[in-house]
Order: sequence, then structure tokens, then C-alpha cells
Amino acid sequence: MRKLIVLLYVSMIFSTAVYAEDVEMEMDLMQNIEDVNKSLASNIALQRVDPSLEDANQLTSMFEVVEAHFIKKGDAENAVDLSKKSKQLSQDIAKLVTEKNFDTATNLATDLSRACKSCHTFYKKE
Amino acid sequence: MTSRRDFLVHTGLGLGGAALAGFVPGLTINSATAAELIDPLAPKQPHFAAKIKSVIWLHQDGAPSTIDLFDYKPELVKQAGKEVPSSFVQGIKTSTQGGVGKLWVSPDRTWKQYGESGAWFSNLLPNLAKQADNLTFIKSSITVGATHDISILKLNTGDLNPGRPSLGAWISYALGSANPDLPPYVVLYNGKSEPRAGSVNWNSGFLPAVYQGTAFRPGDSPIFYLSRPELRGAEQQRNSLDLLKQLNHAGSQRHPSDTELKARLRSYDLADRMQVSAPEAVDLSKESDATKELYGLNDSISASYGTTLLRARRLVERGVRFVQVVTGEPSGDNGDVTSWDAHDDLEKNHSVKARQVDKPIAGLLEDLKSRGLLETTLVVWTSEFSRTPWGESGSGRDHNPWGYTQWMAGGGLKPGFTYGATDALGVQVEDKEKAVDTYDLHATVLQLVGLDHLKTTFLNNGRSERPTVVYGKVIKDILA
Repeated sequence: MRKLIVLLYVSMIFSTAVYAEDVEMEMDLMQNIEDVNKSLASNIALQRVDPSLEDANQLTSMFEVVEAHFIKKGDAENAVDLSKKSKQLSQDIAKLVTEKNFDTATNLATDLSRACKSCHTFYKKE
Repeated sequence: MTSRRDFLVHTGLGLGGAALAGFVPGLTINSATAAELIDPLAPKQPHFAAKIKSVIWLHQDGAPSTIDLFDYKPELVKQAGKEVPSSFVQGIKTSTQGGVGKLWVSPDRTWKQYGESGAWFSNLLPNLAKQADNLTFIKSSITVGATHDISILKLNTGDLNPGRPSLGAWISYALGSANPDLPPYVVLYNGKSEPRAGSVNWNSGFLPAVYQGTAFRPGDSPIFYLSRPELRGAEQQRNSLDLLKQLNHAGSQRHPSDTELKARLRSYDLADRMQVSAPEAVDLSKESDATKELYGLNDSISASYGTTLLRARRLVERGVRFVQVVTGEPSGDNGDVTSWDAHDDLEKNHSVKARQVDKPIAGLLEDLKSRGLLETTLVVWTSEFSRTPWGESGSGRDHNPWGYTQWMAGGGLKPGFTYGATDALGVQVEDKEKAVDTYDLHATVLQLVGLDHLKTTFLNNGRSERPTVVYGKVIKDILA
């Protein structure tokens, strides 16, 4: 159910991104990223292929939104870079779990968490 | 002949043991529950060869100013009295209670290099300075700066909210006990009251309760009601305890998944054995006068902390895996100086606090080394955060979570080595790639006790949890 809500949320953000010029990224999205990221770490640890893949794909979609937001916002080169890096990591994780290479996927998921934390240090609102 | 009950118990344990070692991912039963069926504190194999057997976790409560102890900043001395250049506070939120004042240094501070490593120490730590070549500095520590209580919780559990297990609890869970007569995880403190924020900092969170830390009070009787009442005979007590044990264990067989009940029974059994072992472990009467002096027991300010550290060494000698020592109020009458929290009059505060810990910690390191225990023990100097280079209230310093020093000493490390750095003023970490957060420190400690933090897992409500939450990176550069 939670994943359905996240998917609907991402779809809504995409729709908004398409039809509205001035998108303000909501903090809920960052919270959702954190939640899905925790779910991903757990699913990789438990070596669950399909749920891991689902989480990784959701994260890829959400990081696309984040990247678009910071490109539009401007003067946030670091955040754009971190979004791109996070998106790439999510895609790599998706590939790795498909190959059942869970050890490497775990390491990349940890890198992804660090990238999220770095970005929050600078851009998360109090 | 194997009964049906024995078969079920042993089958469950086999699966549980495998799951504990991380070999059965996705197992739908709670792995620790299965292992609980025999002895949850039985020794368990690490993931790889351990470099150390025990950890002494020295929490410097209140957040010492490490730019006044270890992290010499000549540029800060030059710039004292001026505003902080904006480039130094870029990217950090300085909304701490004191605001950003002018850069400040104590007029009494002097600095000197020690040992072959040339590590800098201030005049506040003359004894610890002599241990320079035994220390491995992490000068790029970061954390989340919140209230002391919240950041202390993160320091010990990795989270800002209560509910996660402390590092010591994870180690107890993953490795079990090396001495059946003592808890594997002991918390020590000096002073009149328990450490601030209390037992959430040594509890077991979602792990079974048996893995939580046991707090030893200062004084001759470390645990309440451990001694037999005078009016009760030894045999009378023995018979009564044996009967109670039989009844309790009969009761617990009817509730095999109740880990709280099992933890309580285990505590009763342990308490029974600890009536002898715990007082002996903390009894310093057989320690020599020279040893007591080494730990600063002859000094009015350091006596109580020195006593605590001497007890820590005795516990490590007896196989306790994780000793969490919280720096409490110094001995004697020191006015309002209790913790390291120097928002004003830092010189007075740190002079007392440094004198409280300097000789005892140096003595601990010296003593461990002379007994051959430093090779198998990890001593960690840690704090919830540190303090700003700008002044507060004229002569104090505010909280700094953006860049500070922690250090470790002991087996498996490069001694006399420094990792990372803060910027020229000591505001924040110089190279963000080298930032060491709580999770990284925890991952490194776990690595040294032989545990892969990524594979030290526990299934909680269907989710695989680990000590480093979703973070953690072993600081490989400091490992020998």
C-alpha cells in the first residue's frame, strides 16, 4: 500500500512538473526517498530480488524529480550532481539485484544513503 | 531418544544460529527468538578474525572543545577577536543557541607537539600527551547537532529517536558473552547521579532485552540489592533461589517466545552468580598504590573518574566485551562544573574537566599496555559533538557538530596516526570525503571486534536492521 502511495505521489509530481513551470519540491518527497531507501537496504540484506528492484526503480524515478527541481532552481550545482549520482546508483543497484549480486548492491546502497545525507546537510529545510 | 519438543527446539536453534550469522536471509521467524531457546549470551563466532576482544567507550559527556585539547589552530590564534569569515560557515546551519560570535581563544592556552608522531596537545592534557604515539586521531568527525540528549542518543545508538539498540547491545547480540559470570556489556559512571538521558543510551532497542547494558553504580555495591541481607543465611538463600529458579524456568517453557521473560530469568541467574563476581570485579583493594596513583586516585578532582577507569580495566581483564564509561561530575567541590558543556568560562570548566580525565585516561592506556591488554582492547574517546571556535558569553564556546576530534587507541589500529582534518579555524571538516559520522565510527569499531556491520543484522517487524542503519563506512585508512 505504501509503495502504491509513493508511486501515485511520484506520478503526481511528474504531472505537476510537466504542466507547471514553477515546481516547488516538497519535503515529503525527501521523506519518501528516505523511507524507500530504508526499505531498499532491508530488502537487499534479505536478498529479495523483486522488492529490491521495485524500491530501486522508485528511487530512480524520485531522483529524476529531485534533479529536475534543482536544475530549475539554479545555483545548486552540488545538489544536481548528488541527484545525478543518486539516480545512477539506484540504476546500478537495480542491475545488481537482478544479477543477485547483493554484496555489491549493499555497498552501493550505503553510498546512496551517504549521498542523500550529504544533500540533506545542505538543502533540507529545518 | 529425541523427544518431539527437543527436536523442535534444536531445529529452531539451528535455523536461528544460521540466521544470526547472516546465512539465512529472509527467514520469516525472528532469528534471535530461536537462539534464545538455549542461551542468548553463549559466545558466537565473529564474521572474521577479531583484532580486539573488548571496547572501552569513553563518552566525554557535555562535549569538550577539541580545538582546546588536540586540534591546534594557529590561524584561530591570529584571527581571535575578529568576525568569522563567511567562507568558513558556508553550507552549515549555525542556528545554535549562542549565534555566531567573534573568534575566541583562551589566553591561557599553550600548545606543544609530543612523541615521534608529533601530535599536538594543549597544556590541558599533559599526561595524555605522553601517550601521543599510542593514539589514532580522527580529526574529521561530524554528527547531527541537536540538544545534548539527542546527539548523545545518536552517538550511542545511531539514531536521533529512542528505540534503536546501542552499539554495545549489538556487540553483545552478535558475539555473546566471554564470561558467564559477568554481563558482556557494562556501563560505568562517576558522580552522584546516572548519566543524562539515562538508560536509552545503553538499551537493546528492538534486540532482545538480554543484550542491554548493565549499569554499575559507583561505590562498593555496583548493583542494587546484590548483597545478601545480613539476617538471611547463605544456605537459606540458596534453597530459596534454587526453588525460585525451578519455578521460573518451568514458567518460561510455557512462553518460549517471550524474550522479556527470558531476559529477566537470565538476569536472575546472572545476578546469582554476580553476587560473587561483580563486587570482586570492581573491588580495588588488591590494586597497588602505584596503580591507584597511575589512575589519579590520589588527586581530589580525578579520583572518582580514575576509580571508574580502573574498574573498566578490571572488567576488560575479566572478559567484558563493551564497557561504556560516561564522564560524570568531578570529585570534590568544583562549583558549577559538572560536564564539559562550557557555554561560558571555558577555561575554568575545561581546566577542571581536563584534570578530571587526563591522568586517569593516560593511566588506563599505560596500564593496559604494560599488561599486554592494549593489543586486545580498543579505547575510544568520543563525544556527542564539540565546540565552536567562536566565543559565546564572552569566554565560552557553543556546540560544533561540523568538525571535531575523536580518537581511538588499541589493537588493529595505526598508532600515532591522524586521519582527516578540520579547516584552518576548526569550524568544519576540511575534506567532506573524509568526514567520519557516528555510523562510520560504529562500523570501524565493529570491524575491529570481527563484525561486518553490513552483515550484523536483526529481523525486526519484517525489516532487516543493522547497527549502522543505512549508512556506515569502515575507516580503512586508520586500520593497521
